[in-house]
Amino acid sequence: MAQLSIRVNERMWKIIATPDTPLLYVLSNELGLQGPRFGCGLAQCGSCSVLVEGIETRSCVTLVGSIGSKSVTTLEGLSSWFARQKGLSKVPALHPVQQAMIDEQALQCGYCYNGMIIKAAELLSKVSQPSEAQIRSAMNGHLCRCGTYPRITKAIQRASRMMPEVNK
Amino acid sequence: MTSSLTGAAFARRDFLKGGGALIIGFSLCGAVFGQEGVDFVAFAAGPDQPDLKQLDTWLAIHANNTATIFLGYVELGQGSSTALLQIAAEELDLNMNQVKSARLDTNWSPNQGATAASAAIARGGPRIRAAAAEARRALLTLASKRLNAPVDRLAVFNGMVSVVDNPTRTVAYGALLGDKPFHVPFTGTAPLKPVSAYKVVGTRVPRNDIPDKVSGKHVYIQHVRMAGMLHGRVVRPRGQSAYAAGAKVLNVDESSVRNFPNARIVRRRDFIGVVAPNEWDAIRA
Repeated sequence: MAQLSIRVNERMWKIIATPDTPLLYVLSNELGLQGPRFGCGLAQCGSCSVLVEGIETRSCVTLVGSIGSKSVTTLEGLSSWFARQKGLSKVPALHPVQQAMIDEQALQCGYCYNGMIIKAAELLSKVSQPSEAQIRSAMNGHLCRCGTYPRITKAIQRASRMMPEVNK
Repeated sequence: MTSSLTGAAFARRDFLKGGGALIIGFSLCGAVFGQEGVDFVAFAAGPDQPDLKQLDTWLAIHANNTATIFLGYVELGQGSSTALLQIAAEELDLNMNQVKSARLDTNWSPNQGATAASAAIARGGPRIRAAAAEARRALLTLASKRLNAPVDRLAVFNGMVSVVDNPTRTVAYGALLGDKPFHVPFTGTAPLKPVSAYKVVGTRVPRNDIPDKVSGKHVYIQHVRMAGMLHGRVVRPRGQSAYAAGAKVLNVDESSVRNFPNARIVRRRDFIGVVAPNEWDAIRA
């Protein structure tokens, strides 16, 4: 066990953990975050995804000791991350992808949607108007056992249409 | 008794842990079908559970003219917690902003059996509908006395009861009963609203579970934390078959967890697990 400092959602946290602890366990057990969730534990499903320096990362196989000074963003901090990225003066209650998931009534159980939203937010941060093929390609590594893929695609398209407005 | 993060045995262990509740739910399907009856209260309440034959078990009317509906089915993303509220709102002549459900708890939720077989609406719906209709009847009886008008000359809109012949005379549900119990038996005999008069059922209503799920506020069972809770992992020997074809334990090397001072081995006959305050310790042990 060692004392480690990690930056999560723009806040520094001191935690006691062995450096080989997967980041996911630190986020859910030490920090009490409910966004990233254990799905497969093998980086196959994406329900544990977080952003590390803006890059979608599977927290179940990312060792907390490897994070160092990098900035971790979870679902809980996504709208703040978005506001910083876009230079918005006010942090919206939800990231446009989150709002679009509500507007499309996309999810059923919602367990995988942490990863769906994180990945879609990463995609839109790089490509603000992705084609359906780009969406399908980006979301390929995220699994939804409820099978809500068509609505996820529609919601990301809806969110992408909201992007130019917030870019102004 | 160690397991690597990427080992196949480890993955299977956690997969089964995650899916366990669902498997149990489906295994009860037969029992649920067997108990289905013609009356509206098909299940027996346990000794410490609310009495299904009392209207107060099913809903409460608050002073602010809203209602809490006590549902007996779990919201698993199928949308039943929204649809059942629509059914209740319809019979009570309330709008969707005036109804909410209580978090499921065996201390106060009516026992409606397992949430399985796509039956939350098919079986739960008629009971909620009958309970809401019975509540409306009880409320109109109170309103009749308060407004000094016969029940059949009363109308209700958004929980406001008015006299048909003199619409200026009104009283709200909340003023009639606000946060007090009905103390009325649930008989299932109250007249139901005809489908042709429906305003809420049959319309598209946004699901009430979605906002918390997209923002990380929804509490999944994996997030439940109890005081003094230990994390556990089941030890599954390589090659073990599923269901009842379990391996026999020959011996347990307790020293294999000595590197994790807080970890303990749990053994019940041929079942072996490891528990520890720290989840990663339990996994590694």
